[in-house]
This record gives sequence, C-alpha cells and structure tokens, in this order.
Amino acid sequence: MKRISVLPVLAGVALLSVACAKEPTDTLNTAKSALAAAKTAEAADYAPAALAAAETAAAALDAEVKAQAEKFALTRSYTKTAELATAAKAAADTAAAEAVTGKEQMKTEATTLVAGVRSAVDAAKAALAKAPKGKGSAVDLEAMKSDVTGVETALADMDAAIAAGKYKDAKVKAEAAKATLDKIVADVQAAIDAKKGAKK
Amino acid sequence: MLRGPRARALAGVCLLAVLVLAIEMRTSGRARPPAGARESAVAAFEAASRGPAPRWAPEALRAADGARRDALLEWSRQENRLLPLRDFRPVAGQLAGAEALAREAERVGEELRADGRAAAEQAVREARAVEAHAEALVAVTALPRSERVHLLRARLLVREAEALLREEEIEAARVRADLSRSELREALGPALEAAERYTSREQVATWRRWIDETRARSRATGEAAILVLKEKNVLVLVSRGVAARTYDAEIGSNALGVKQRQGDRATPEGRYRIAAKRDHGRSRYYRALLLDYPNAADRERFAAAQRRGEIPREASIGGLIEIHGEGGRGQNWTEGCVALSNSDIDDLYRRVDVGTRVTIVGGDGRDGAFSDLLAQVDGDRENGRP
Repeated sequence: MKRISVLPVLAGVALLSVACAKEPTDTLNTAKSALAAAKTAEAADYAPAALAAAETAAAALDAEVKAQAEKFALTRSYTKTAELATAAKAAADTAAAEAVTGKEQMKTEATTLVAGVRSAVDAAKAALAKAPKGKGSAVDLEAMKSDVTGVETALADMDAAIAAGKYKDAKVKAEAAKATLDKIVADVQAAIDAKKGAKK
Repeated sequence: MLRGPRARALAGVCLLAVLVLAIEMRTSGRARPPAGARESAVAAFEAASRGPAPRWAPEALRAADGARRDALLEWSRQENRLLPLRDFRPVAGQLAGAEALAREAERVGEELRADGRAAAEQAVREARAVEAHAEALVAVTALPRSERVHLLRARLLVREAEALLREEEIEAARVRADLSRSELREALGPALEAAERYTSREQVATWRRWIDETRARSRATGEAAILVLKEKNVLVLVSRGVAARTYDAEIGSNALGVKQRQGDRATPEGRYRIAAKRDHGRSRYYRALLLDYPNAADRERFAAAQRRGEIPREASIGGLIEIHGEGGRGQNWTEGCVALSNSDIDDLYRRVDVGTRVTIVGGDGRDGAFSDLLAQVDGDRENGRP
C-alpha cells in the first residue's frame, strides 16, 4: 500500500521537473546579440577567422534549439542549449574584440599614413622651392606645384574617410598620394643633381 | 511480482537482449557520434568562410552552409534520442557532403577570385599604359590647370588601384583602374584631339608617300637625304635609299602641332632642302643646317589659314628653322627646330651638303607615342571601356 502511494508522487515530481524545462530565451538572445554585435564591428573584415568560429558555434546552437523544438514538450532539456549559447556568445565576443583591435590597428595605420602625406606635402613644397628654375623647367614646375595642391586638396577626402571609419579607403588613398609626392620630390632632386652635374 | 524460474528466465532473456543490442551498437557504430567528420566539416566550412568564397562564390557557400546546418541538426536530433535508438550513420554522410560542398565553395571562390584578379591586374596594366602615354603627351603639351586636376586624379586612382590589389580588394581595384582611364580621357581630351591626325588614314598616307618618295629619290640619284619623324623623335640619314644612320632628335615643345605661324613652337612638316650650313660661331646652337622653311607649300597653307580666319592677319609665318646641336636634353624644347646632340650634329654635318633634301613628317602611323595612345583609346571605345 505504501509503495503504491509513493510511486505516483515520484512520477509527478519527475513530470513536473521536465515539463517546467523552459527555453533559455535570455541566454539565446544574448548569444544572438553578441553575434550581431561582432558583425556590426566589421568582424568579417577585421577578424574573419574568429567570426567563422563564432558562426560555427551559432550554427551548433541553432541546431540544438531546433532539435529540442522537435521533441515532445515533456522530454525537452535545455541544459546543452544553455551551454552552447554560452559558448556561442563567448566566440562572438572574441570575434567582436578581435575586430575592434583589428580596426583600431587599421585606424592607427591610416592615421599615420595620412600624417605622412601631410609631411610629404611640406617636403614636396620645400623641394619645389629649391628646384632649379631654368630653361624649359617653368612648365614642369608649374605642373608639379599644381599636383602638390591637388594632393593637398585630396587630404580632405582622406580625413573624411577616417572620420567615416573607412580606414582601408583612407589608407589606400594616402599610399597613392604619398607615392605621387615622393615622385615629385625625386624628380626635383634629379633636376638639382642634373644641374650640379652640368656645372662640373 | 514474478518469482521463481519464470522470472529468472525473463531476466535472462532481457539480459540477453541488452547484450545483443550492445553488441549490435558496438559493431555497427551507429551510436558513436562521428566527431572526426564533424571537426573536418566545420574546419572546411570555416576555411571557405575566411577565404574568397563569401565574396566570389556566395551561392556555393550558402549551399555548403545549408548542408552543414542540416547535418548539425541531425546530429542534435540523434544526440537527444535514447542511447539505444541513436543512429549517427546518416549524420556522417551529411557531414561528408557538407564538407565536400564547403571545399567546392572554396575552390570556386579561389578560381573566380583568380579570374577577377587577372582582370583587375589587366585593367591596372592598361591604366598604367594609358597613363604612361598620357605623360608622354603631357610632356609635349602644356595642359591647362583644370585638365591637370583630372590628370592628377587619374594618377592617384592608378596608385589606389595598385594599393587595393595589394590588399586583395580586387573589384575595387578594377573599378578604380577604369575610373583612372576615364579621368585621363577628361584630362587629355584636347591633346587627343590634336593628336588625332597621327592616326588619320589620309594624313598617315601622305606622310608615308613623302617618306617613300624621299627614299626612292635618294636611291635613284645616290644622294643623301634626311627624314625626321617627329612622333618618334628620330632623324634618319638616308643613303642610296636606305637608312644609314638614325639619330635621337628633339623638336618644338608643341610637339603635337604642325607649324602654322611664328611663335607657335611647332616644328614644320613638309619637304625641304638644306639652304645653308652654319658652322661653329655662326649658329646659336653649336652647329646648324638651315632649312628653306617656309617654302611655297608652307606659304600657300599659311595664306589659306589666314583666309579662313584661323591665323590673325598680323601673324607672321616665321622662319630660321634649323637642324642644330645642343640637343640630348630628353625632352622636346625647341622653338620649332630639330635639335641633335653635339656629337650627332658633328657627324651629320659631315655627311650632308647644301641642297640635301629634308623630309619632316609627324610619323608613319606605327609605334609612336601618340598613335599608340590613340590606338589604345580607339580600342577602349570599341570594347566599351570608359
């Protein structure tokens, strides 16, 4: 008699415990938000490997959530789902952090390059001031001065690209401008050297 | 509750059943998750995601992702079943399929990127070639400031395209290379217009006829003759109809133009003769061979241009066109004369006499800076490039 009364109680407790298993919505949402944040942080560009790992973790989580959803309600268990969600969030956070670091590094590179262009503009102007002004060089000098002015104007585009967070664009523009200015300085130096040679 | 021999028999049967099930599970391996296959499939997909596939083969990558997700779902399903009911064998097959699709996406991405890169490199090469020709044109034409802005932009765009290629931003590199060409067109429009006679069939045919006639006459008479090809910056000494010597020559700084009037800094084109030889002390530029410019054809052309209002009434036709020394400066710099290095004018001076025929042409339509550039521009137009 005693055995008969205990069994239903135990069964009821067990049933209640599994029937009360609820999807860990907050943990799932946190994991999803973390992945979205990593993408917003441009992890695809700045931390592609970490983002790929985060997406793998998210895919495993999605699969587990779907598998649980397919099961009979009383038999669902979200213990593993919660573990996978935690792992997915951690992977997404890593991707976001790596992206921020990568982007910051790119920003530093771009800012340094643009500063280098500013110095190169000054160097080109100084070189042009010392350029030999002889026969046939007036047109060339005027053209080079015009180019330096043009690059100076293009500095505004580079600053705008940095302000807009388009660091790669700013970097590429700065590299192009620097190459142009370096050529001007080299041309002027060659003209100076040629003139020195001619005087010998 | 069952007791006695029947109960023991039942327990024995159950035990046997469990044993058989365990052996079956062990031998078939169906309950064992294919961890290696999962790891391999995940690694293949991540490798594809990190490579060129997202940009160059997104469809293939999506297909691989779908297969991977299906496999993972099946994995979770099996994991959530009771142990005796689990069967991971189909999952292993799905993972292998997902891995194959990921590798295919990576391969297609690599291939398409390689094609894209080749196209971008070609576009950058072409832009660089147009830029080089443009520099040649700029060297002989004083571009107005507004057009120089286009030229500078074009140069910057080519450098940006090169930098983008280094960053593996292939599509952006190609776009900037094409933009560069379009900026060059803007910059060089007027100069290109002026250079168009270098590919004009009629004009080139006239120049070739003059060259052929000069050679034929030299062959027939045994006399030396001089050919000047402005576009190629060369002076050719013809002896008995064949090129005996070729000298580097510099011409008027308005190298694209044909002389029309005094002060236009263009070298005349036509058939002339040496009118006088001016040795040391009698020439401003070392030694000189004075030409009989303007001749009757020049005067006629000048008068016609004046009648059409292309030349002001008060303009003069100019003169004192010489082949002289002090050249070798590496650029076209004269007022309209032809300049050779001093050693070359010394050599030429010895080999020609007053009366020697001198034929000056723009070019022969081949392998010259202007005609090459125009051919490139025409090719672009035909191919619909900007």
